[in-house]
Amino acid sequence: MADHHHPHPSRADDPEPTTHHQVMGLALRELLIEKGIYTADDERARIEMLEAASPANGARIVARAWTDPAFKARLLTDPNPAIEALGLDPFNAIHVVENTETVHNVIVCTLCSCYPRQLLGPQPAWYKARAYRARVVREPRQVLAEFGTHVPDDVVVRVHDSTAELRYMVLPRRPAGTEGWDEAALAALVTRDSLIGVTVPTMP
Amino acid sequence: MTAHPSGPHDIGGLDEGPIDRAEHELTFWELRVDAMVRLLFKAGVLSDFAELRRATEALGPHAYEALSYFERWTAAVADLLDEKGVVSNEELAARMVEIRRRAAAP
Repeated sequence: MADHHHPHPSRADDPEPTTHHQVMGLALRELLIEKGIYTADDERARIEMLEAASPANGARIVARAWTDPAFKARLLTDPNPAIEALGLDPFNAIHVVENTETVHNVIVCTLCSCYPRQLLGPQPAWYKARAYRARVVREPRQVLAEFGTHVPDDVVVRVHDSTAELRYMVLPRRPAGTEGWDEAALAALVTRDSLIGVTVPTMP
Repeated sequence: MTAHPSGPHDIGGLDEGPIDRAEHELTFWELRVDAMVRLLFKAGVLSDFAELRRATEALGPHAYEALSYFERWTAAVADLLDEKGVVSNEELAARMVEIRRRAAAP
């Protein structure tokens, strides 16, 4: 990860694009730039934005919600102001779903891969792959157990199926024993997977 | 495999095997395709993800199984740009030949 953030268009460890569709992608890109639909600078800026998206954004929101009840109440009703306060673009529609003593939430996009990437960074490969999409709506407890998350029988599991129009983020429960921690220390406990709901934050 | 009720993408609830949890960092090629799609939305050439998803689903079950995620996006974008008269299939094929030739050049 150390050299992940270099902005220039080369990564020594990437194989050369050689499949039919990879060459097709390169050809489309060249033609679109030549036709003036976008520029190489537009592309570079967009890639930097994609690379800057990180679960640290979601984690900051969660830490704030854990320490500020009024913020949390607003977040659960309308998350966009909190998202804009981080300097990010608002979503068309996003719901923050809260884990409680009685409810555990998990998100999926069964039809494709919809996901609040600004808040969570790029989707993990498994989120886009068949097995997770097919199974988490049918046997969520089993799937969660594969991620090491064992939800007690008396806790309801809610699976939220995202679309391009409506995305979700999970607000995990604050771990016990973190009383008095500041927001930065709390945010460090919040992982990407806990914002998806396949894991829960734990003490280090 | 269970029949697809409304297309190869419609897999929620099907039986599948274990989840491969290996992490995969996006390659530069994948980031470029991602950027291309978003810039085509911004330019108004493509409408939105719904349009892209329809085109991806229209690739058919074979493409859905055989191609990677961003390869499917690429094929779908190529179909949409041809439909819209932005980049014709002929123009695209010619450029692909040229890129192959460039890559093979010493």
